[in-house]
Amino acid sequence: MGTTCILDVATPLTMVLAETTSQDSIYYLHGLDLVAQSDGTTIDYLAYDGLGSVRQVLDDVSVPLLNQTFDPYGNLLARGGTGESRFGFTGEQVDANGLVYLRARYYQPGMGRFLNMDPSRQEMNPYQYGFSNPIDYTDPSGLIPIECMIDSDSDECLDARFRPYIVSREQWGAREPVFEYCYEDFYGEECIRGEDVFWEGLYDADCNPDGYAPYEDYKPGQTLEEIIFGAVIHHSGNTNDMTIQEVQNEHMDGNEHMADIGYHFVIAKDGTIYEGRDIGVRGFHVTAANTGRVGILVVGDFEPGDWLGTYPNDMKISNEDPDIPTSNQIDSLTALIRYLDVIYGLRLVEGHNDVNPDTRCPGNRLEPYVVQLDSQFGGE
Amino acid sequence: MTRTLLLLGTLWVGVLLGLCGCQSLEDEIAENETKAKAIIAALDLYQQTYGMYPDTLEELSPVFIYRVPLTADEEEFQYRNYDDSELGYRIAFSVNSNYGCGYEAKFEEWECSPDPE
Repeated sequence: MGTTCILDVATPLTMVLAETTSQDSIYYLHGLDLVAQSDGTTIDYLAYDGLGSVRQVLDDVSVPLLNQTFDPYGNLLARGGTGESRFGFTGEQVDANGLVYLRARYYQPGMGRFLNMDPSRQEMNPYQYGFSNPIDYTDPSGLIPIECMIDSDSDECLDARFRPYIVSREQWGAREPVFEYCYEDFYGEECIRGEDVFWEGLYDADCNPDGYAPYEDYKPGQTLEEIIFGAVIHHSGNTNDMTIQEVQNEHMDGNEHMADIGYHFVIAKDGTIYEGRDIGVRGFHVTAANTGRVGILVVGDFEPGDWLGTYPNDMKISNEDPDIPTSNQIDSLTALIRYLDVIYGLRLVEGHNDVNPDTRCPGNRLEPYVVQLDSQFGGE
Repeated sequence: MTRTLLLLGTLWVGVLLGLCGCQSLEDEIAENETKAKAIIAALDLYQQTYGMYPDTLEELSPVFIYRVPLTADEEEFQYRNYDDSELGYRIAFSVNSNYGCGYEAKFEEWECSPDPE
């Protein structure tokens, strides 16, 4: 009989949430790591060593049900107790045949090597595990070793643990930033550079301080962790269900003539997170407060009826069809804010109208979530 | 004679601009930033005295500043206390309906931009 698994594929490394056979089910509870497992009646807690390997399974009064130890390459040295867990070396699933499932491929602790070649082709030795240094490196993706001990706060490790799946600019076919806007009029082609206030252009401290500003040019010597302090959440309003490509086209070809999409991230209605403007570049999503603030668009109109005009024609003209953020959007937004908080240390999670009070963005149906995220992830 | 007429013409245009209150965007921004300097100095004094920033600009008057200045458009400066020791506060003003400038205490710097919407 087979086993049915429920997976969380929105995390950087796919996680098992539940396993069901015809006889029983096991549910896995995740915090920042796998915290506990439950058969529906009792909860057992997992205890890890520095490498993230499951060394003990404890009951709800901390009595050890299972003790196990591994050698540096993950061979089981000793095991005792009546408890069970499918998770072992480096906290990964171990199949009944002793192979460790590392997602892209299986690892064989007895040989200290992978059974298959590295599909990413990034390693000189395509079968080698953890640069042959399993004390300092793990390889949870099966693609690239990372120096990621449990509780490690290296950027690489935090990124691997917390980064949600984000569709890259390359994947969605983003246009490259443009710093010069040209149009043709009666007198021929005219080009406007960034010094025109209604055109973003490239940052220049003297001539175009409002321009497209990579932080390395705008604030040299400062890290992104020092600069980024907040996230601002937007909705797409009356234009409602836009694709990432449409958002970028509107920003670059609209009245502002932005150099690129103004937001750093866009979350579609199905919860997919798209990479927008490079996070190392100042955004263009609020008035006069973009430095250090990450712009996030949640696609939808979360305050229907706030604009009842008839122009442009594709805008809503009634307050019917109210939108609410989808549960996928809220899950993705939460994962993204958590990731930004871990990497940059957010001190504020704001709605657009917290920064510019004259707008109703991000809408009264999204605002409660913004308040909740600020209380959860904002603050000192 | 021509030079005199030119001079008179220039003066007349100047008088007209003065009467209508017309000011370039740059001039208006510069005037507001100058006015805000006094507020920023008063906020720093307040912070040194009480160890925190006030919740409203009115609390600065009359001890730390005699009267809180208005913008060139006779509007109040927007002010926000973040209640966060690293961020401090923000002061902002609008120059017209779709352009504004803001000062973040964290960066000690003005940023101006049009409204992206």
